[in-house]
Amino acid sequence: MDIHKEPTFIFYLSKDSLFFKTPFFIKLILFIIVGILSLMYQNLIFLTIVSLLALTAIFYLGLPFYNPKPLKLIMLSIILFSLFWLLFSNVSGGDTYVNFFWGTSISDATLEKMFLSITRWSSLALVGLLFISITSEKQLSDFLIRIRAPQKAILVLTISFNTVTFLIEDVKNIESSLSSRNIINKGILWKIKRIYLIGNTLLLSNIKRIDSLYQTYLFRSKS
Amino acid sequence: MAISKSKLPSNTFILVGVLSGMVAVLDYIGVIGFPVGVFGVSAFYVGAAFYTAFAVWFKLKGLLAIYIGLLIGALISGTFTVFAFVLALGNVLGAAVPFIFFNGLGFNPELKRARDYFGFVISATVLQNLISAIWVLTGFYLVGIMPAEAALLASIGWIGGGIIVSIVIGIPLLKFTTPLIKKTTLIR
Repeated sequence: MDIHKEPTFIFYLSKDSLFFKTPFFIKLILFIIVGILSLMYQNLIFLTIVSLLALTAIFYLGLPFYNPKPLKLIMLSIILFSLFWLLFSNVSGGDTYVNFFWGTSISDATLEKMFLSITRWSSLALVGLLFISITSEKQLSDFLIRIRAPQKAILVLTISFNTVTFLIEDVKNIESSLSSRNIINKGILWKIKRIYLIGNTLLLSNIKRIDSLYQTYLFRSKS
Repeated sequence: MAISKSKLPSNTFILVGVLSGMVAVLDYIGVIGFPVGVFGVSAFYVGAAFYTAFAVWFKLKGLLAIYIGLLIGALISGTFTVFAFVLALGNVLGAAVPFIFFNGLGFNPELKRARDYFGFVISATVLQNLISAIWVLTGFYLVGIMPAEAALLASIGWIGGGIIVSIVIGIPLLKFTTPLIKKTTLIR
């Protein structure tokens, strides 16, 4: 990893990048404004431009080559919403192309609504993805300190983010342990059971972590 | 000299911090492991069964941890949107139902009697999933992302998957882990 790069929520970005250097407050305000406009504004051109700009910025940062999972999830959700509109909506207007036996149809109005829906969703999701690609946890906690947020709230966030790192490592260890005992996936129920085993082991092993943190806090607060 | 658990200084922020980290990881596993739906809306959302247990054991602290954890989970899985603040409330409101049943209506989270199982089925499998589904799908409909006609089908998928997850994970989690949790200083 390049030593000039800083970790963001899901990415590593150059310290000198304009995206990274932009103050957190401005990034947050832009994220909220564009997000709310995407939710409220019914204009297909506006939503398409927002989506394309966000996607271009994400490609420019090089995200898909590093971590393609979020983009896969966005694609999956777009396909799912499109199917919902195509197969189960009943919007009449314009020419009708297909009539389904369960009573719904695909018309011009359906396609218009579907495009509006998926561009809205992609603008929301891509702007969100861009925001977390260019923002770090440190920028978030510095911002909370600057606005004088309650100290315990900042501590909760710091503990959470630090714990997440340990927990993901724990999950990998538990998974290897389960695999070495030949507990492999045999259908959906087995997959759910496997996640139960991972979650329960994670919970029990972390009770100790909560207790250790608590003991440390007690000792430090007494001195 | 034995000290009563209730006389110890508050551990709320540590508990909420670690629990929300755990919720974030469970949400991440749920979203990435079973990507059978939309952001945080999965046909087999395994996290929901753990949220039930957190709400029953840790009450309001658990509900707060679920909310914070879901937002952090969205951050680390790359599925963060403005809408995430509203969507996360769906899971919190759902988990609030078993919290009320087991802490307010006298059902035992260790599931010792038949009526406790009945309470679990009503609150954690049926009502919890119903409330979460109604909240999230209504949200999607109101902002024009999902057609009203698809809501019924999506609800059936959500509630059906949720019931399977609650029974397979929720019952053993409450029955076997509650006695262990009760012995710690986490429950006061």
